[in-house]
Amino acid sequence: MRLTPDTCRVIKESVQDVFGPTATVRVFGSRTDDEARGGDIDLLVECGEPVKDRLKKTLALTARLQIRLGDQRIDIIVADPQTKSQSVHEVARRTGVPL
Amino acid sequence: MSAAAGLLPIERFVRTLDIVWREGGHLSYSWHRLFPVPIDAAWVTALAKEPEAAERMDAFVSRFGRMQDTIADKLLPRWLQALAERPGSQIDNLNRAEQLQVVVSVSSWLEARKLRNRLVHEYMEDAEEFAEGLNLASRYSVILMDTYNRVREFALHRMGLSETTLPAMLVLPAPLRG
Repeated sequence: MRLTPDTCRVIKESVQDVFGPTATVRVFGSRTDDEARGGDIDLLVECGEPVKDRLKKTLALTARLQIRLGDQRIDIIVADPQTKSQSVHEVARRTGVPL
Repeated sequence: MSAAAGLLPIERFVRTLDIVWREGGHLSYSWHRLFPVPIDAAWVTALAKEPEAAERMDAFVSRFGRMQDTIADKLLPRWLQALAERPGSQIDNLNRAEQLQVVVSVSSWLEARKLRNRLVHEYMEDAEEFAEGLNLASRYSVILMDTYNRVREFALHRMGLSETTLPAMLVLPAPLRG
Protein backbone atom coordinates (compact mmCIF):
# COMPACT_ATOMS: atom_id res chain seq x y z
CA MET A 1 0.00 0.00 0.00
CA ARG A 2 1.33 3.40 -0.97
CA LEU A 3 0.69 5.40 2.19
CA THR A 4 3.32 5.91 4.85
CA PRO A 5 2.69 4.59 8.39
CA ASP A 6 2.51 8.22 9.54
CA THR A 7 -0.15 9.04 6.99
CA CYS A 8 -2.13 5.95 8.02
CA ARG A 9 -1.94 7.01 11.66
CA VAL A 10 -3.13 10.54 10.84
CA ILE A 11 -6.03 9.15 8.81
CA LYS A 12 -7.12 6.76 11.54
CA GLU A 13 -6.89 9.39 14.28
CA SER A 14 -8.76 11.97 12.23
CA VAL A 15 -11.54 9.50 11.34
CA GLN A 16 -12.07 8.69 15.01
CA ASP A 17 -11.94 12.37 16.03
CA VAL A 18 -14.70 13.21 13.57
CA PHE A 19 -16.82 10.03 13.56
CA GLY A 20 -16.17 8.67 17.05
CA PRO A 21 -13.88 6.01 18.53
CA THR A 22 -15.70 3.01 17.09
CA ALA A 23 -15.53 4.18 13.48
CA THR A 24 -13.32 2.07 11.22
CA VAL A 25 -11.60 3.08 8.02
CA ARG A 26 -10.30 1.29 4.94
CA VAL A 27 -8.17 2.62 2.12
CA PHE A 28 -9.25 1.41 -1.31
CA GLY A 29 -8.63 2.33 -4.93
CA SER A 30 -5.31 3.23 -6.50
CA ARG A 31 -3.46 3.76 -3.22
CA THR A 32 -3.70 0.05 -2.48
CA ASP A 33 -1.97 -0.72 -5.80
CA ASP A 34 1.79 -0.79 -5.30
CA GLU A 35 2.39 -0.45 -9.04
CA ALA A 36 0.36 2.75 -9.49
CA ARG A 37 1.60 6.27 -8.77
CA GLY A 38 0.04 9.26 -7.08
CA GLY A 39 -3.74 9.25 -7.22
CA ASP A 40 -6.58 10.18 -4.92
CA ILE A 41 -6.82 8.84 -1.41
CA ASP A 42 -10.10 6.88 -1.34
CA LEU A 43 -11.44 6.04 2.08
CA LEU A 44 -14.41 4.01 3.29
CA VAL A 45 -15.46 5.00 6.80
CA GLU A 46 -17.87 2.61 8.54
CA CYS A 47 -19.84 3.42 11.65
CA GLY A 48 -21.85 0.98 13.74
CA GLU A 49 -24.41 3.66 14.71
CA PRO A 50 -26.40 5.96 12.44
CA VAL A 51 -24.39 9.13 11.77
CA LYS A 52 -25.98 12.55 12.13
CA ASP A 53 -24.84 15.36 9.81
CA ARG A 54 -23.05 12.85 7.66
CA LEU A 55 -22.10 15.15 4.81
CA LYS A 56 -20.94 17.91 7.15
CA LYS A 57 -18.71 15.43 8.98
CA THR A 58 -17.37 14.06 5.70
CA LEU A 59 -16.41 17.57 4.60
CA ALA A 60 -14.83 18.28 8.00
CA LEU A 61 -12.74 15.10 7.77
CA THR A 62 -11.60 15.95 4.24
CA ALA A 63 -10.54 19.45 5.33
CA ARG A 64 -8.73 18.12 8.39
CA LEU A 65 -6.80 15.58 6.32
CA GLN A 66 -5.89 18.16 3.67
CA ILE A 67 -4.53 20.45 6.38
CA ARG A 68 -2.56 17.66 8.04
CA LEU A 69 -1.39 15.73 4.96
CA GLY A 70 -1.11 18.54 2.44
CA ASP A 71 -3.48 19.52 -0.32
CA GLN A 72 -4.35 16.36 -2.19
CA ARG A 73 -7.53 14.79 -3.51
CA ILE A 74 -9.27 12.85 -0.82
CA ASP A 75 -12.57 11.06 -1.44
CA ILE A 76 -14.47 9.68 1.49
CA ILE A 77 -17.49 7.39 1.53
CA VAL A 78 -19.29 6.96 4.82
CA ALA A 79 -21.48 3.95 5.53
CA ASP A 80 -23.68 3.50 8.58
CA PRO A 81 -26.43 0.92 9.27
CA GLN A 82 -28.93 3.09 7.37
CA THR A 83 -26.84 3.36 4.22
CA LYS A 84 -28.22 1.47 1.25
CA SER A 85 -25.37 -0.77 0.21
CA GLN A 86 -24.13 0.10 -3.25
CA SER A 87 -21.58 -1.69 -5.39
CA VAL A 88 -18.93 0.90 -4.48
CA HIS A 89 -19.29 -0.07 -0.81
CA GLU A 90 -18.92 -3.74 -1.60
CA VAL A 91 -15.84 -3.17 -3.74
CA ALA A 92 -14.30 -0.96 -1.05
CA ARG A 93 -15.01 -3.57 1.63
CA ARG A 94 -13.67 -6.44 -0.44
CA THR A 95 -10.54 -4.75 -1.79
CA GLY A 96 -9.84 -2.11 0.84
CA VAL A 97 -7.05 -2.28 3.39
CA PRO A 98 -8.23 -1.66 6.98
CA LEU A 99 -6.17 0.87 8.95
CA MET B 1 -1.32 39.89 -24.52
CA SER B 2 -4.14 39.76 -22.00
CA ALA B 3 -6.06 42.84 -20.92
CA ALA B 4 -4.56 42.47 -17.45
CA ALA B 5 -0.97 42.68 -18.71
CA GLY B 6 0.79 45.86 -17.81
CA LEU B 7 -1.43 46.56 -14.81
CA LEU B 8 0.18 47.30 -11.48
CA PRO B 9 -0.42 44.58 -8.86
CA ILE B 10 -2.75 46.91 -6.93
CA GLU B 11 -4.80 47.68 -10.03
CA ARG B 12 -5.04 44.02 -10.85
CA PHE B 13 -6.16 43.27 -7.30
CA VAL B 14 -8.85 45.99 -7.37
CA ARG B 15 -10.08 44.74 -10.73
CA THR B 16 -10.38 41.21 -9.36
CA LEU B 17 -12.13 42.51 -6.25
CA ASP B 18 -14.67 44.10 -8.57
CA ILE B 19 -15.26 40.76 -10.33
CA VAL B 20 -15.79 39.03 -7.00
CA TRP B 21 -18.21 41.77 -5.94
CA ARG B 22 -20.29 41.13 -9.07
CA GLU B 23 -20.17 37.38 -8.52
CA GLY B 24 -21.27 37.95 -4.93
CA GLY B 25 -24.27 39.97 -6.14
CA HIS B 26 -25.26 37.13 -8.47
CA LEU B 27 -24.79 34.52 -5.77
CA SER B 28 -26.90 36.55 -3.38
CA TYR B 29 -29.66 36.87 -6.00
CA SER B 30 -29.68 33.11 -6.62
CA TRP B 31 -29.57 32.46 -2.89
CA HIS B 32 -32.76 34.49 -2.43
CA ARG B 33 -34.46 32.71 -5.34
CA LEU B 34 -33.68 29.26 -3.98
CA PHE B 35 -33.95 29.32 -0.22
CA PRO B 36 -37.35 30.83 0.62
CA VAL B 37 -38.67 27.24 0.66
CA PRO B 38 -37.11 24.70 3.00
CA ILE B 39 -35.04 22.20 1.03
CA ASP B 40 -35.35 18.55 1.94
CA ALA B 41 -35.19 15.18 0.21
CA ALA B 42 -38.79 15.54 -1.07
CA TRP B 43 -37.93 18.88 -2.67
CA VAL B 44 -34.88 17.33 -4.37
CA THR B 45 -36.92 14.36 -5.64
CA ALA B 46 -39.58 16.73 -7.03
CA LEU B 47 -36.94 18.51 -9.16
CA ALA B 48 -37.43 15.85 -11.83
CA LYS B 49 -40.83 17.42 -12.53
CA GLU B 50 -39.89 21.04 -11.80
CA PRO B 51 -37.47 22.23 -14.48
CA GLU B 52 -37.61 25.84 -13.31
CA ALA B 53 -36.68 24.97 -9.75
CA ALA B 54 -33.92 22.70 -11.10
CA GLU B 55 -32.57 25.64 -13.08
CA ARG B 56 -32.62 27.87 -10.00
CA MET B 57 -30.77 25.17 -8.10
CA ASP B 58 -28.15 24.86 -10.84
CA ALA B 59 -27.68 28.62 -10.99
CA PHE B 60 -27.09 28.72 -7.25
CA VAL B 61 -24.62 25.80 -7.31
CA SER B 62 -22.72 27.26 -10.23
CA ARG B 63 -22.50 30.75 -8.70
CA PHE B 64 -21.45 29.26 -5.36
CA GLY B 65 -18.61 27.44 -7.15
CA ARG B 66 -17.61 30.36 -9.33
CA MET B 67 -17.29 32.87 -6.52
CA GLN B 68 -15.29 30.39 -4.49
CA ASP B 69 -12.94 29.69 -7.40
CA THR B 70 -12.38 33.36 -8.15
CA ILE B 71 -11.61 34.17 -4.52
CA ALA B 72 -9.24 31.25 -3.98
CA ASP B 73 -7.56 31.09 -7.41
CA LYS B 74 -7.43 34.78 -8.30
CA LEU B 75 -8.37 37.23 -5.59
CA LEU B 76 -6.20 35.93 -2.73
CA PRO B 77 -3.05 35.48 -4.87
CA ARG B 78 -3.50 38.96 -6.37
CA TRP B 79 -4.16 40.45 -2.97
CA LEU B 80 -0.90 38.92 -1.71
CA GLN B 81 0.94 40.24 -4.77
CA ALA B 82 -0.48 43.70 -4.08
CA LEU B 83 1.05 43.35 -0.59
CA ALA B 84 4.38 42.46 -2.26
CA GLU B 85 4.11 38.92 -0.92
CA ARG B 86 4.70 35.81 -2.93
CA PRO B 87 1.56 33.69 -3.34
CA GLY B 88 1.93 29.96 -2.71
CA SER B 89 -0.38 26.96 -2.99
CA GLN B 90 -4.07 27.48 -2.35
CA ILE B 91 -3.76 26.22 1.23
CA ASP B 92 -0.72 28.46 1.83
CA ASN B 93 -2.68 31.47 0.61
CA LEU B 94 -5.66 30.56 2.77
CA ASN B 95 -3.37 30.15 5.79
CA ARG B 96 -1.82 33.56 5.17
CA ALA B 97 -5.30 35.06 4.75
CA GLU B 98 -6.31 33.47 8.07
CA GLN B 99 -3.25 35.02 9.78
CA LEU B 100 -4.25 38.42 8.42
CA GLN B 101 -7.89 37.79 9.45
CA VAL B 102 -9.25 37.94 5.96
CA VAL B 103 -10.31 34.29 6.17
CA VAL B 104 -11.89 33.24 9.47
CA SER B 105 -11.20 29.52 9.15
CA VAL B 106 -9.09 27.65 6.61
CA SER B 107 -10.87 24.45 7.44
CA SER B 108 -14.32 25.91 6.70
CA TRP B 109 -12.94 27.11 3.38
CA LEU B 110 -11.67 23.64 2.52
CA GLU B 111 -15.03 22.18 3.55
CA ALA B 112 -16.80 24.61 1.21
CA ARG B 113 -14.40 23.65 -1.58
CA LYS B 114 -15.06 19.94 -1.13
CA LEU B 115 -18.79 20.59 -1.03
CA ARG B 116 -18.55 22.53 -4.27
CA ASN B 117 -16.80 19.59 -5.93
CA ARG B 118 -19.38 17.17 -4.69
CA LEU B 119 -22.31 19.32 -5.80
CA VAL B 120 -20.79 20.04 -9.20
CA HIS B 121 -18.89 16.93 -10.21
CA GLU B 122 -20.15 14.01 -8.24
CA TYR B 123 -23.58 12.86 -9.04
CA MET B 124 -25.30 12.76 -5.70
CA GLU B 125 -27.68 9.84 -5.97
CA ASP B 126 -29.05 10.23 -2.53
CA ALA B 127 -31.76 12.93 -2.37
CA GLU B 128 -31.31 13.25 1.39
CA GLU B 129 -27.61 13.92 1.04
CA PHE B 130 -28.09 16.32 -1.87
CA ALA B 131 -30.56 18.32 0.25
CA GLU B 132 -28.06 18.39 3.12
CA GLY B 133 -25.44 19.59 0.60
CA LEU B 134 -27.61 22.45 -0.64
CA ASN B 135 -28.42 23.53 2.90
CA LEU B 136 -24.73 23.50 3.78
CA ALA B 137 -23.93 25.49 0.63
CA SER B 138 -26.50 28.03 1.77
CA ARG B 139 -24.49 28.57 4.96
CA TYR B 140 -21.07 28.40 3.30
CA SER B 141 -22.23 31.17 0.93
CA VAL B 142 -21.90 33.50 3.89
CA ILE B 143 -18.25 32.56 4.27
CA LEU B 144 -17.63 33.59 0.67
CA MET B 145 -19.43 36.92 0.99
CA ASP B 146 -17.83 37.60 4.35
CA THR B 147 -14.36 36.89 2.90
CA TYR B 148 -15.02 39.44 0.15
CA ASN B 149 -16.09 42.01 2.75
CA ARG B 150 -12.98 41.31 4.83
CA VAL B 151 -10.63 41.65 1.86
CA ARG B 152 -12.36 44.93 1.02
CA GLU B 153 -11.99 46.18 4.61
CA PHE B 154 -8.33 45.18 4.54
CA ALA B 155 -7.84 47.13 1.30
CA LEU B 156 -9.51 50.15 2.83
CA HIS B 157 -7.89 50.21 6.27
CA ARG B 158 -4.63 48.31 5.95
CA MET B 159 -3.65 49.10 2.36
CA GLY B 160 -5.00 52.64 2.43
CA LEU B 161 -7.03 52.35 -0.78
CA SER B 162 -9.78 54.92 -1.10
CA GLU B 163 -13.45 54.03 -0.79
CA THR B 164 -14.15 55.49 -4.24
CA THR B 165 -11.83 53.01 -5.98
CA LEU B 166 -13.41 49.97 -4.31
CA PRO B 167 -16.67 48.18 -5.04
CA ALA B 168 -19.38 48.27 -2.33
CA MET B 169 -19.76 45.88 0.60
CA LEU B 170 -21.88 42.78 0.01
CA VAL B 171 -25.02 42.49 2.10
CA LEU B 172 -25.33 38.98 3.56
CA PRO B 173 -28.73 37.28 3.18
CA ALA B 174 -30.74 38.29 6.26
CA PRO B 175 -31.42 34.79 7.66
CA LEU B 176 -27.70 34.07 7.71
CA ARG B 177 -26.43 37.24 9.36
CA GLY B 178 -24.96 37.31 12.83
